[in-house]
Amino acid sequence: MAYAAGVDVGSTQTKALIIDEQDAIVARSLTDTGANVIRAAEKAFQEALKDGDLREEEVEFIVGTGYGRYKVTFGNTQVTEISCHGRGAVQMFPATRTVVDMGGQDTKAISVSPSGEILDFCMNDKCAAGTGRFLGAASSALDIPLDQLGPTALRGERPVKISTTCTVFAESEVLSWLGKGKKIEDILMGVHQSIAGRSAGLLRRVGIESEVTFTGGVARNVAMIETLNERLGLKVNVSEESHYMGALGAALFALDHIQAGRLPSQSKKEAP
Amino acid sequence: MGRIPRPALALNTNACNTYIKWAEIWERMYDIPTYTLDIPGTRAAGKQSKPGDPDFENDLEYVAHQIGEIISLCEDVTGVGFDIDRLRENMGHANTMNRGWKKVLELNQNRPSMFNALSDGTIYLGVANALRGTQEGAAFFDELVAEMEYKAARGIGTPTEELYRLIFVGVPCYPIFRRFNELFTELGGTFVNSTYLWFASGGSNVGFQYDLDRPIESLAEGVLISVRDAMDSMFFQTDLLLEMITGYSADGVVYHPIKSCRTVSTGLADSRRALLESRDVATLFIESDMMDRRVVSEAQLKNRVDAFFEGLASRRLRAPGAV
Repeated sequence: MAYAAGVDVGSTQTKALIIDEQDAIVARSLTDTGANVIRAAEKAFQEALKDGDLREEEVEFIVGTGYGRYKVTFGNTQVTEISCHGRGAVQMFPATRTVVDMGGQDTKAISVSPSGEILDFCMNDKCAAGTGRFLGAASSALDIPLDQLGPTALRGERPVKISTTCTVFAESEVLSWLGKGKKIEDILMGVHQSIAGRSAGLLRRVGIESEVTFTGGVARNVAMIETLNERLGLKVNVSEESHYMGALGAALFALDHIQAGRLPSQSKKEAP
Repeated sequence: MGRIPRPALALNTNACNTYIKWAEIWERMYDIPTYTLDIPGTRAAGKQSKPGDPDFENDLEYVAHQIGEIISLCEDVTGVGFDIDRLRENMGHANTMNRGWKKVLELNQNRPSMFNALSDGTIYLGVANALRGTQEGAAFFDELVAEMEYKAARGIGTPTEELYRLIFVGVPCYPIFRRFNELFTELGGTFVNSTYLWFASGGSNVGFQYDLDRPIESLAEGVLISVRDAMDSMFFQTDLLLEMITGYSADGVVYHPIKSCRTVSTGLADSRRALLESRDVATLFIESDMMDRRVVSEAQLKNRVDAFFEGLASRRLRAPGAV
């Protein structure tokens, strides 16, 4: 049995995922990227091997993706996370035509063909407002763990209007609302609505065509899913593997290489 | 060429609002007079006036009058009398250069293209602008045309592989000029044409030929037609790009709006949308700058450029007849 791996080195977290020849996910791992990107990639891959009880030589092809894709030194090739999220989303939800990927530092709107090829894409530029980092700033200001942000926000009944468009200033705006006596859940719902609004703007630039699949780490946030549904007027697809969607896409591209017989002539360590 | 001498007069057109600011700065720095040659723009979208139209003839008279003022001003500033034969000589060289520039741009329709419009083309543009109307400039363009024709006849392309033919829209990323171009050439992209080579040449790309028998009138006519073409290239961009995509067999269009020149950057997002409504062509929209290194993020650029090429590859695979 041959295996293919995708290693997605994101700005915040690094994800590794291994699939078998039938596209089935057999192992995964998640680690903080930190300052040493090469080590994070290696660690994620080794932990994924351990998770699947696999040996390194059983993985025939590895594709690196994410901002740190060129630091996946043991990988065979690199593919952008834009293509990988598109591919992964179509694999999980074949009717996907639009993908919204919310990561740590950027949000991407991607238009895909029925076979998962990228038709168009658009991302936030030079500003992290509307991304996972925006939620991180709110989490820090309100002293609430990231995984509790969504459930807390859903209790909000009268969401505040978050006017800031800057992640750095988001924290002070949240504190300002606290100072005015607003409830934490209302402030948090306002934060989520602000992000959903910015994401909808990006999506409109590539065209919102159903079905829409929501990927990236922020897709685990229940309030984000709800506000996005409300803003777009449709129900977005969310997979349990949403956080790993980039790594899944990368693993699928790796499997393409194996199946096409384009195996590296040299050892993986020496491949570019 | 030696050092650029201290100026005695600042002369500019209104083709770009930055020119006017430059002239104002020179006026203050060197305590010199400045003259802005005011070229009337097109008055309504899709209504470019042509020679013979009443609007054009009125505008021509206005420009010709200004040229008369400039001649008097130059005589006052320099104390040297106007020499119409010297003007004819310079206009003759300018004719050679205009003709050559137009020809060189057209020759790049060949496959493979002979020069990269973003890197090589910008260097040719520098010669076209800095040596305009000179014997050296004319000789350069004569040789350049001969070189390009030689390459075209023998199928000699650029040193980099031409997998994808691209069109560039906007101003180059000068802070990382070489690296920016490599982001594309490393993946097999070659810029076969660039809107920068139209508008930044002051419209020389139209190849206007001055009539040396009536130099003043012809100079006014040439300036009006060429500069207006450069200014109008923003209003009629979509039509021009559609023609260019077909003529140059382009696979994709790269839009590059910049922070420091809103004149050519404003509206590019709408231009792209308009283009996509008319033609199914791969496009990329990336932002940086022409001078401010602080707003140039190579990592952000590379990510988008890489994804653009992945899309180009997908398109090629999906194309009818693809193997």
